[in-house]
Amino acid sequence: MKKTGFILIIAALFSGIAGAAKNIESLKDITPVRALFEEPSLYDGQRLTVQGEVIGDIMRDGETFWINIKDGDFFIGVVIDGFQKDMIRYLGRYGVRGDIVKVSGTYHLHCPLHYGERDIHAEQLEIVENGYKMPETVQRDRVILILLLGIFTIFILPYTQRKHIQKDTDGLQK
Amino acid sequence: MIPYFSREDVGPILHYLGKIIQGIGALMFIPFFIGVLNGEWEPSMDFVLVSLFSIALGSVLLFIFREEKDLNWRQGMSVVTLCWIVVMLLGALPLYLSGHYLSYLDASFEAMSALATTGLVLVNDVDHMSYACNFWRHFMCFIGGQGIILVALTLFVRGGSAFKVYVGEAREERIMPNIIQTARFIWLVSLTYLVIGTAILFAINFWRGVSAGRALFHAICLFMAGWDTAGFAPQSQNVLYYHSYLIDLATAMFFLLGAVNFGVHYAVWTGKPRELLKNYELKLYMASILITFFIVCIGFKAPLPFPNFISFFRESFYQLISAHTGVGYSNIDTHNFSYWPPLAILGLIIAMGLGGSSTSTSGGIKILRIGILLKSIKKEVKIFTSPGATVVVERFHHIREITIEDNHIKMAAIITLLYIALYLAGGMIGAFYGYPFLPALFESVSASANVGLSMGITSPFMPAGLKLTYIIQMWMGRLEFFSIFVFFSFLLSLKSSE
Amino acid sequence: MEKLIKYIKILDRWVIGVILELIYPLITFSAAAFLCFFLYLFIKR
Repeated sequence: MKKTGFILIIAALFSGIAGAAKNIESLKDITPVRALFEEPSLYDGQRLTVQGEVIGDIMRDGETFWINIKDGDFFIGVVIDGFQKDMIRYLGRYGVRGDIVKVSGTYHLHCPLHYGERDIHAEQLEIVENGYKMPETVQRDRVILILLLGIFTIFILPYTQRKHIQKDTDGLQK
Repeated sequence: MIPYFSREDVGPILHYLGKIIQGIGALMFIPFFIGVLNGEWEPSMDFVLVSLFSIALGSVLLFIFREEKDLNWRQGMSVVTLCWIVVMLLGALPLYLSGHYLSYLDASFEAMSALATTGLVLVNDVDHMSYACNFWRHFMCFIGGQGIILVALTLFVRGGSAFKVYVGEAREERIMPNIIQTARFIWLVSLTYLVIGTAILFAINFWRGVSAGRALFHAICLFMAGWDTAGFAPQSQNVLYYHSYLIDLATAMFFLLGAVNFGVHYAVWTGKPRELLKNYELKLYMASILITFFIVCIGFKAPLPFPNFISFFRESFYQLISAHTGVGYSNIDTHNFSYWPPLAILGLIIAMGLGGSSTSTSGGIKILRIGILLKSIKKEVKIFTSPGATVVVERFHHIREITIEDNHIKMAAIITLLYIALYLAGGMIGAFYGYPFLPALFESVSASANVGLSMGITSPFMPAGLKLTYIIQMWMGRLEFFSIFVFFSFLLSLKSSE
Repeated sequence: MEKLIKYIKILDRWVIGVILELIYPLITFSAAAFLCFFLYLFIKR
């Protein structure tokens, strides 16, 4: 009985450690885009995974498409296919937080296929978080300020029209 | 100190300033309409607010200083100097209200960078910026590149004052007999290329699957910032965002065209196409591009960090042409410079420092001045090597035949020295803040010559003192010093006349 | 009619002017490409 219990505890401990390690593994899986810029030669030609928000537009390039992924202050161009393109619904722009995607593929510092571009050729694309629209809030005090300034401007404008033109002395006689 | 200015000068200066401020306020209605069209209510309101504030402020000045007198030279230059600062502060307001800038200083930096067509940016998260605000950033490039004063000339200012403020904004050449006609011709060329350039860029983006509205927006913004050699782009990655060699090619064509003297455009467009072959500045410019490009290329050693010729050419030439025309568009990330050798970077620095043609939208020392100095060296060598009584005359063709006189050489040398001093001063200040010297010098030249390429120093987190330094450098570089000197002597005179 | 001919002549010159001006960047590009190609071969050897 004691022996069984002991084995169970050890098994639980190991699976716990293994589980934690796997989580760490999957966290380790994602390379921050920052690293691709700070260590250019280290990752060149390597297969890796990045994660970030899709921003801007999807642009066609022959049979493939370009998307740009934003990861904090760093951006990377990703080449995807038509099927992967159809998975993306929200593109980041004003008022929209784009889809957060996880892309796995080969990273090139100077892709020979794409005239030397820094890119990732996506083999797998996964939507991690859907994008959404962000509502606007109109501030009431700004509306009041606009009305006040508007009234003031309408009042003062007619008084700025009077002119008195004088000839140019060219400053030489001073 | 002899007071060249008096209190009587204040009135006319502030009168014209009032008109220009009103004009800027009126122009803000354009981004307002763009915001409304796209349902961007918050930014639209920001623009109405700042617009009304500007119109009101301008009106107050016009109300107090009602006399419209023709300006003399000192007053004209003071108007220019003052209006650049004021327009920067006003233009920064809607940017700051957008929430994309850490401070009003950052927003002012961006506004000055746009107006002076530099292109160094401090914006945060421009990819989520409203169309209205993003358009305003690029539109300021257009206004500043064409000349705030030119805008005013076309709309407000008459007669004798006009030429004085035109020259104050570092445009020396009278392309047509009448300054107003010159101003209008410059607009004609710019608007023609605006239509052509926007159409080409729109077509490329639309063909690549971008929606019509966004393709048009990108096209207009890229053109305005490219033609006016500014270098802003609607997305954080700059031109790299498009991943398109076609966009690179199209934008590069417009850099080169925008960096050509407007007088040459005038000659070619009015039936004198030979000017393209005869113009000394243009020929020297092409030679300079090739020479600095040579320096950039030989800076690289084997093993090259590029897999093939195309990627080497694309990266090196685009950066060089962007530097030499003073645009500052980049199809690479700033981190790419980490594998650029020092000599290649020096090639870029020299290209940026030399700049583009005179009376164009470029910055820097300007090729015509370099040409004059080269001719003067040739002249002096000839004098030394010729028998005593020989009269040596050097001339060149620039729209018309010009004989080099001592006055030309003097002015060219003074301005060249001032630019070099500005470049070095900014570099030293960058080094003082702890940055390595070559990147600090690069950034300093980029700011002073209004280029906008960056090796990474320019960021929202750089020291406030350095932000202020670059703002001053951008301003001085754009106005080519003299207006600013005149304005400061005006301020000192006012003080001493009390 | 005369005015129309005058405007057409002006427009004609503008169009020719723009086309000719576009040649100048093309020449610059081509020259730079040649230069770069030769330097590329030289550096790589």
